[in-house]
Amino acid sequence: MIPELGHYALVLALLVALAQTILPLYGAHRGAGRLMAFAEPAAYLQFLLLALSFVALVQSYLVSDFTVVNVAQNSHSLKPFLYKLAGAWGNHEGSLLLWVLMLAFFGAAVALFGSNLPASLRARVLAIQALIAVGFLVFMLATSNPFLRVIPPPLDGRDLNPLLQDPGLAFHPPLLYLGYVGFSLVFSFAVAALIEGRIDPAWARWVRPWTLVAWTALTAGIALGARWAYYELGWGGWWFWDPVENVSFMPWLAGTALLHCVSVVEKREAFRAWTVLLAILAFSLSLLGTFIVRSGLLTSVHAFAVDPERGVFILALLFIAIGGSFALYAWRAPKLTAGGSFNTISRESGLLLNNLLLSAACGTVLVGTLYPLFLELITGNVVSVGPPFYNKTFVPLMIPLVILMGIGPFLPWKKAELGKVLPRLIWPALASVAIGVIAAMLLGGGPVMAVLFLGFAAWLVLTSLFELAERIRLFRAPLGDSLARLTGLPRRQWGMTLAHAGLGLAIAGMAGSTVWKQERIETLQPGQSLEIAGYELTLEGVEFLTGPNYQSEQAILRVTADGDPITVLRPERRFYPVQQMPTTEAAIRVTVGGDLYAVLGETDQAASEGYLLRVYYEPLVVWIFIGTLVMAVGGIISIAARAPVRKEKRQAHPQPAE
Amino acid sequence: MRKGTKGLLFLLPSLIFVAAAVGFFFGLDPDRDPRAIPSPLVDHAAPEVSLPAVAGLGLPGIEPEMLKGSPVTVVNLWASWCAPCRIEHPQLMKLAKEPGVRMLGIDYRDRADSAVTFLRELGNPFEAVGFDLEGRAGIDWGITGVPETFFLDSEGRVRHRHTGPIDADTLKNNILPRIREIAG
Repeated sequence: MIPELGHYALVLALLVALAQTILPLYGAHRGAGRLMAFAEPAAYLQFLLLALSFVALVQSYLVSDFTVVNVAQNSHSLKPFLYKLAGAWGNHEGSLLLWVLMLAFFGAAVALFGSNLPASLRARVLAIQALIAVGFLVFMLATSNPFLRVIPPPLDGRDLNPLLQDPGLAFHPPLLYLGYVGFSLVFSFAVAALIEGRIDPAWARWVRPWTLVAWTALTAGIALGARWAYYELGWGGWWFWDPVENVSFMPWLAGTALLHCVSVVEKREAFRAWTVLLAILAFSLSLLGTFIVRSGLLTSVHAFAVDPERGVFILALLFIAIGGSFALYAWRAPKLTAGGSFNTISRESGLLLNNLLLSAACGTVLVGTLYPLFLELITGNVVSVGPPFYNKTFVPLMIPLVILMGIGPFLPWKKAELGKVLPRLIWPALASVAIGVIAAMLLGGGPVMAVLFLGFAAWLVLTSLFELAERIRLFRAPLGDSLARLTGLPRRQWGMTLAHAGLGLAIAGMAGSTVWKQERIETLQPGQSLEIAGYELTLEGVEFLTGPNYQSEQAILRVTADGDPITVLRPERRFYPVQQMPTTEAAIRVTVGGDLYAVLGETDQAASEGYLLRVYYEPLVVWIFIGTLVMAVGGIISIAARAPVRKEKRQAHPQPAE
Repeated sequence: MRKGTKGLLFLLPSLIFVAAAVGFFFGLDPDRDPRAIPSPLVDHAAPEVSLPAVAGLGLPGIEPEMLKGSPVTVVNLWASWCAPCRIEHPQLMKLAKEPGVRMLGIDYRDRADSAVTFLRELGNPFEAVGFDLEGRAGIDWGITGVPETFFLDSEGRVRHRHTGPIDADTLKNNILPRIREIAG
């Protein structure tokens, strides 16, 4: 009964979305207020129906209803509660339902908060948002229905892939989707603006917070994914340039570019056509990601079940959404006039350069991801693209970008004089060089590139702090005065400072853990020990344990430094009998200086030969996650920032005369 | 900028997208399974390439005559930077225990020290590993990416090819029956 209700709600949601697309669009065209007003109740209703449907699926998972094919294929009665819950979106069909639920959530949010939007713009935004939902709902009902039944039901389910049985599953996909789908709203705003033929600062003030919501969620989602890969896959890496990682990174790069140029539209009315293109691109790249992951076009560690029929369907959706909006762009965008002029050296030109670099970086990732496919189609030749490609293309693009990130915030709008800006940057520059060199010496020397990137990390953090100090006139005004300025700073200022400084911290972690990583692989008998990075790890023994749906071997490693006890690490090897799959559970001791990371290796040979242990020392790696967290916090603070109030409006309420 | 050129500039995203979409469409051809692409080499003699040994590994490199003689010779192309190769590796270890199977590895575009670490860490299934720094052997074998595995008969002819990582299921239901068939 419950699954049927969910199924039925899904069909109703499709009908509502269809009406929400057609009526408001026609109404906006005709200027008919009542038809336009239909969009809001429809947006609420669509969200409610999809929420009902989603709850029905979650309920089927929680009670292990194996008459539902989707549950039987991805769950097991012995699975812990958290994974029964998260398992609802750990598969193709369930994750699609989460996708459309979020789509409707953003639609409902516009209906709720959008009362100050022009009526026709609001109606069109909601209509486009519903049109995207129509496409995905038809796709779901036709090829990927999560509520299909199977009679007779299997005795028990096939269980969830053990690699996914991790608390990360509960948060990583929802955050990532919140980011992807958040860009759908920005896309809807862009398409609606193209139909209206008008883009003004008011439009930008609306788009900015939604871009920030998507950007923040995507930042957190990608960081969480990297963290998950780091501790779950068991070889100490956090980024592999895998196609599925790349497709989440591309919308992030486009969204970051968009975030920066939206503020130019807002303040100076320049870059309008480019901003609209980026808004379309950010969501198009999200859609492209969905397509690549679910069609089996490229092989990847993360890929969902492959089904060519689904692929053709998503490609058709892609063609309508991306092709349609690009065609609209080609038709309407040339009419968007260029706005305020600016000098060669100014905040605007800095942001232009930032956009060029970010777009180029996004382009290299796109090329690296799709190149093998297209080369094969055109010439039949086959290649693979791995980290060496990205180290030669992507990383060099980051160098000018990072330098510019330090300078940009010091540049005033319209016209800047380098002669005035550069002398203010001498101290951060000198200090960054010093910090880079000292840190590299502490970590034991290394290639020039690595030292350079540690310096860049310091540069980003220092310039952000210097800029903040200048704003509050630290040491130039009395301290109390500075503190008052600090608390009075606009939230957007805090957002920028935190995001830039956070990236600096993350870069330090990336450079540290890539270049100065140490590893030891040794076969130990109980009682023997190995040494790494000043720590001594002694194997005390190995225990056999039984978990709810797995068996495991757990090694007990006593860690000491100079004879002082530090901690006990317990790396595990688990075996999941239902899926016939082993996993490794790394044991990690996290410190700000570096992580000690231990993995119990394959023990195919008799235990008398000892246990294979892999131990890594990963300097600074935790800063990747702290840095990205700081960036996300910056995003959250900035979301709630109020748009700068125009002077005319302030004067609209004159003080009563005394 | 003249008006015509400017209009063309705004049309550019559409043109690029249409070109990409056409590519995607052909990429979705159901006959093109990205994991099982028919090799032009199937039923032909394997390419005769000599490859040097991996420095520090203590195993010989690959010579053309190694591709013949054993009832079944398995040639696996891998790299230490390749994440799916790690996932596949336990299956290769199992494969190495099959009677009548000679396991040869080609380390594709890799660093010798990382390759040595990789095999020390995960176990070594190979009798010999050739070091293919420039990816030349990769071109000769016509691979789509790593990992990729070729199955040769006693006369050194390619009889089967597997693209992408071999998982436990594939090994049991697909690879092992093939090996028995090739061994005759």
